[in-house]
Amino acid sequence: MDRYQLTQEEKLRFELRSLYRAHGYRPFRMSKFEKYELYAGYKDFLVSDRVITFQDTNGELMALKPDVTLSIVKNARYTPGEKEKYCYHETVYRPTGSAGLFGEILQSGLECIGDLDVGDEHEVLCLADRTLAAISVESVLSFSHLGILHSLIGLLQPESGTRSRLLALVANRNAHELKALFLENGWDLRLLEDIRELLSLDCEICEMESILAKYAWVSKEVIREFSGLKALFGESCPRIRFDFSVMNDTRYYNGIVFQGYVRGVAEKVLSGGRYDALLTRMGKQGGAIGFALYMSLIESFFLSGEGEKDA
Amino acid sequence: MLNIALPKGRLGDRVYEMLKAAGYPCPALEHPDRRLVFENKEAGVRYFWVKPSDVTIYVERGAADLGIAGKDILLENRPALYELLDLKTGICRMAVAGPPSFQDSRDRVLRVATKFPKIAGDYYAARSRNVELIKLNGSIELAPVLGLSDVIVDIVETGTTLRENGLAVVDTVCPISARLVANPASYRFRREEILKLQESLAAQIPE
Repeated sequence: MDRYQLTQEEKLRFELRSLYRAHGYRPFRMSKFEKYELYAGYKDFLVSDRVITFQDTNGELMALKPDVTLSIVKNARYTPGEKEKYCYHETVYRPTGSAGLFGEILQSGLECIGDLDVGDEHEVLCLADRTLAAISVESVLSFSHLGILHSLIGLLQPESGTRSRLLALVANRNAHELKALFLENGWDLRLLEDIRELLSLDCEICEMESILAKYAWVSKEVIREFSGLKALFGESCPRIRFDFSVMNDTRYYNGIVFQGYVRGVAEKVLSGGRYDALLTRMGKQGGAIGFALYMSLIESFFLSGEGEKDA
Repeated sequence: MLNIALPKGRLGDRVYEMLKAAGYPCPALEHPDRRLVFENKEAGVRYFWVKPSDVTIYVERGAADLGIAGKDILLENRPALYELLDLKTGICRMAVAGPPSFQDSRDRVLRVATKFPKIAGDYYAARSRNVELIKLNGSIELAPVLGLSDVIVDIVETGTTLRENGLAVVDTVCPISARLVANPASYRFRREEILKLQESLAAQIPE
C-alpha cells in the first residue's frame, strides 16, 4: 500500500480548500481559545451554551473555542462596497451525543462578510452544493428563507412564547399542533393552509419566485431576492430544494438558510445561512452569509464505507 | 424498506394494528417470540420493538426512519425529529398531582418530584414559580406520601393509581398521545415512501 495514500477525508479537505480558494476565500487560522466574554454575550448563537473555560495566567477567563463564526465576525472590518471572504478547517469543543459530554468536533466552512448582494448568496449556495457533491452523489441542500416566516409573524403578531412555539412547530413539520395553535389564538385559518402548503413543497430554487408570488402576505423583498437567484441559477438546480421546515435561530439569521444532507448520514452534515442580524448585534455594519460542514460526521461516513459506494 | 421503531407494550400493539390496517402488515410480528426485528419485504417495512423511551434515539440516530413515540418523551428529550402525525391513541395527560389538602403557597420553594424534569421545569418557569425538582425514576406517587415532595408531575391515564395513593390532580400540564416521528435525513431521501405511509396511517386515526 502506498504509505502516502490520502484518506477520503484528507482528499475531501484538499478538494474543498482548492474549491473555496478558487472563489477568493482565504484561509482563516485561529487560536484554539478565545476570551470567554466573546461567547458569554452570544450564548444562544452557539449550538450549546456549555463552553469549556479556564483561567489564563493573567487571570483572564478564557474558553476553548466552541464556534468559528463568532471569531471571524469579531475580526471582520467593514469597508463600504467591499467584502471579506474566509474559509477554515478548525476543531471546536462542545457537548456531543446523547450523553452531552464535551468532544472535539472538526469543522470546515466559509464566511462571506461585508456589502453583500444576491450574487454572493448564489455563490455560497453553489459552494455548499458543490461541497456536498464532493462527499456523495446522493446529497441534497435544503433551503428556506426566514423572510417568509418574518412576513407571517408580522401578520399574526404572536407574543414571545407563542412565537417560539409557532417556529418550533414549523421546524418539526408538526401540522396537527399548528392547527391547535391557530385555533387557540383565533388566527385566520387560511394562513394555516398556506403554511401547510409551504411545508408540503419540495421544489427547486428557480421555482420559488412564482410560488411565493401566490401568497399576498409574503414580503415583496423576499420574492425579488428569489427572482435574482433564479436569474443566476437558471432553470435547473435539482439538488438545491425548498424545505419550509429549515430554520436557524431567528435572532441571528434573517434571510436564506440552508442545511445539507448526505444519504447514509442520519443528521445534517452542513448548516448555514445569512446572518446579518448577528453582525448588527455585534455592533458591526454589513451583511454575512456562510456555512459549516461537520467533518466529524463525514469522517464516520467515509469510515463506514458508504462514501466508497459513490467513488 | 422503511425501518420503523415500535414501542414495546400495549401502545406498540395498538399502533401496529393501525399500521397493519394501513397496508403495512408483518405476519411474523404477530407470532411473538424472542426476536426484536421483523420484516415484510412485500410491504416494504421492517419493525423493531424497542423500549418506549428509546424510540426517539433510534430514529434520531438513523437506525430507524420512523418511530412511534409518546408526546411525553418528545417534550422531555426534544429530539431533532419531525412529528408527522398525532395518532390519537395512548391518550393520557401530564399532570401536577398532590394530596387533596394541597394548597400552593408562593412564600416557599415548591418541591416537585418527577420523571420529567424538563417538562416540569418548563411548566413552573412559565408561571415564574421557584421550585426544587426531584428527579425520580419510578413510583413517583410515593414522594408526597412520604414527604419527599409537595407535589408530583407525572403521566395520568385513569387517575386510579393517584386515588389509591391518596393523591388528586391539581392541574393539567399538557395532553399526551402517541406520535409518528421521522428522521429528517430519511424524510429527504425516502420522502415518497414516508409520505405514502403517513397518508395511509392518517386514514386509520380515530375521529
